[in-house]
Amino acid sequence: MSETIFIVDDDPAVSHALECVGEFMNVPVRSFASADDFLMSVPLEATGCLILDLMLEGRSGLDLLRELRQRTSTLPVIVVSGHATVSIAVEAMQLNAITVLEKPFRLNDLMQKIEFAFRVDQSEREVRQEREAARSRIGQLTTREREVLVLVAKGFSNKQIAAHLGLSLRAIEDRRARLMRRLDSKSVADALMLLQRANMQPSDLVSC
Amino acid sequence: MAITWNRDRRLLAVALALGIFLVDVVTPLGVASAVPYATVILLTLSRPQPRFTVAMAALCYVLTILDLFVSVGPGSTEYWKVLVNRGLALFAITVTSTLGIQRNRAAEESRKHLEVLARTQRAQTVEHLAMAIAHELNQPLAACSLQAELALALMPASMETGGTSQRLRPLLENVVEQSQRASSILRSLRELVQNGRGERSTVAPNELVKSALRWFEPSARPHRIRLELELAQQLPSVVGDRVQLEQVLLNLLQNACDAFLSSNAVERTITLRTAVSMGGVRISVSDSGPGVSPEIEDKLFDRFYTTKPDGMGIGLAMSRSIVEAHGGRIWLEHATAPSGATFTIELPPEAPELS
Ligand SMILES: Nc1ncnc2c1ncn2[C@@H]1O[C@H](COP(=O)(O)OP(=O)(O)OP(=O)(O)O)[C@@H](O)[C@H]1O
Ligand SMILES: [Mg+2]
Repeated sequence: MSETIFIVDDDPAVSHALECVGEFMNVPVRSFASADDFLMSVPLEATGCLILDLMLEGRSGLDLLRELRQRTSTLPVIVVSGHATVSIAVEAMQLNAITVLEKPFRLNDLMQKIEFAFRVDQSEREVRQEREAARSRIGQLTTREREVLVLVAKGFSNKQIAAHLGLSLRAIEDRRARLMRRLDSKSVADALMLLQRANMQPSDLVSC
Repeated sequence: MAITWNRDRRLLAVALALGIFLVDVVTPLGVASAVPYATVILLTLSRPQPRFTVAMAALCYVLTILDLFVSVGPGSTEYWKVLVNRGLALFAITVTSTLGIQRNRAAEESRKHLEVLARTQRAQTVEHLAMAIAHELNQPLAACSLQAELALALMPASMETGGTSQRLRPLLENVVEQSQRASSILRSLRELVQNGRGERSTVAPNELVKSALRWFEPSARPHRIRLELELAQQLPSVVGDRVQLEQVLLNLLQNACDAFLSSNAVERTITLRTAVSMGGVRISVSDSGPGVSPEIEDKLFDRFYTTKPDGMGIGLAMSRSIVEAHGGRIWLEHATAPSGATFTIELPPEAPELS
C-alpha cells in the first residue's frame, strides 16, 4: 500500500504549498478543505499521515482528530496551527498527534515530521499485521488444545496438567505437540511470545 | 461656555438665597422659607461635586436662623409658630441636599461603570481584531515561506560562482527570513493584546443577567422594548470575567434591538432566561424579532459577517471567543415561536471547593 500525505486545511494557499512539499518528497498527496470532506472520502485504514489545520471553518481540526481516534484510526497526525494555545496543544498530544507545528513552519521541520510520521505508521502497521497473524494462528486451536495452552502458559508441567485434566500423560504430550505445531512454535517461550504479540492473556484463550 | 454657565448658576443660587432672606425680613412673620430655600439647593445640584451644595445648605441654614432673630423677638405671641416654621425650613434644606447629593453620587457611579464597560468593549474589539488579523496573515506567510524554501531546495547546487542560481539563493533566503520575521511580529502583537486578560471571580448567573439588563434598559426605553426575566432559582455559580460575560449579554441584547429596528417589528419583547443544564448553566436571550434565515445561520458567528449597513460583524464572533475562553458554548437555537431568534450561552459550573 502506498503512503499518502493527507492535508486538511481550509486555506487554499497553505494547502497548495503543502501539496508542493509532497510533490518534492515524491509522495502522493490528497488535500481536503474541511473535516467532513476528509471523513467522507478517506477510509479508516488509509496509510501515510495527515497534516491537519486546527482552525477550520465548521468542524474544528481538534474535532476531526477526536473523531478519528474514536473510530480507532491510528493514522499519524501532524497538527499545524496559526496560533495554538497550550491547552489545545496538550489535547492534541493526548490524542496521539505526532507534533504541533506553529505556522509558518520551516520546510525541514515539516519534512522531518512527515518522515517520522511515516515510520510511526509503518511500525504501527507491522505490529497490527503481526497481531492479526498471531490471532489467526491461535484461532486455529481446538478448545482442548487451548485448555492445555492455558495451563502450559501458567507454568504447569505435563504431569500436573494430566492430573488436572484427568487424562493420561501420553494424551497430554500428544496434544501439546499438536498445538505447538499449529502455532509453529518450537518452545514454550515461542508460544508465549505469540500470545503476547496477539495481545492476549492466557485467560482470553478460554473464552474465544 | 460651560464654566461661565456654572459660575452664573452659582451666583444665581447665592443671589436667590439672599433675596429670599430679604423678602423674609421685610414681610412680617416671614411665613415659610422652606420651599424657596429648597429651590436654591436644587439649583446647586447640577454640579456633580457635593462641595457647593453643602456650602449653600450651610448658608441657607444660617440665613434661616438669622431671620428668626430679625423678624420676631423672643417673647412675641407668634414666637412658637415662627420657631416651628423655621424648624421645617431647616428640615427641608437638610433633606433636599442629602437626597440630592446621594442621587448625584449614584449617577456618577453609573456613569463610571458605563465608561469601564465602553472601554472594555473597545479593548476587546481591538484584541479580537488583532487576533483575527494575526491569524489571517499567518496563512499567506506560511505559504510564502514554505514555497520559498521549496524553491531553495529545488535549486541546482551549481558550483560556478556568479551563476544564476547562486544569485537567486540569497534572494530566496531573504524571502524566508522576512516571512518568519513578519510572523514573529504578529506573535508578539498577539501576546501583547492577550496580556492581563481575563479576571477570574465567582459570578452568579442571575446577577449577571440583571446587571446586563440594567445597562441595557436606558437604550431600550426609547424603542419601547419590553424586557422580561425568567430566572431559575438555585443556579450554580460560574467562574470568569464578569465584565466580559456581561459584554456577551449586551452584544446579544443589542443584536435583538437591532433586529427590531431593522424589521420595524411591532411586538418588541426580549426574554432573558436562566436554567440549569447538563453542562452547567444556560443563559438565553430570545427576541420576538424577524429571526435568522437558515441560509445565513452558519455564518453568524464568523468574524466580519454582518447584514447591517453600519455593522462590523464582530459582536457574535467576539462573544463566541469570550464564551469559549470560559470553557462554554454559544449557539443559535432554532426558532420555536413563529419568529424570533434565541441565542443561548452555556457555561460550566464553578468547580466544587476541594477540601
Ligand atoms: N437577534 C437577531 N435576530 C436576527 N438576526 C441576528 C440577530 N443577532 C444577530 N443577527 C445576525 O447576525 C449578524 C452578525 O451579528 P454580529 O453581532 O456578529 O454583528 P453585527 O451586529 O452585524 O455588527 P456588530 O455587532 O459588530 O456591530 C447580524 O448582522 C445579523 O444579521
Ligand atoms: Mg452585533
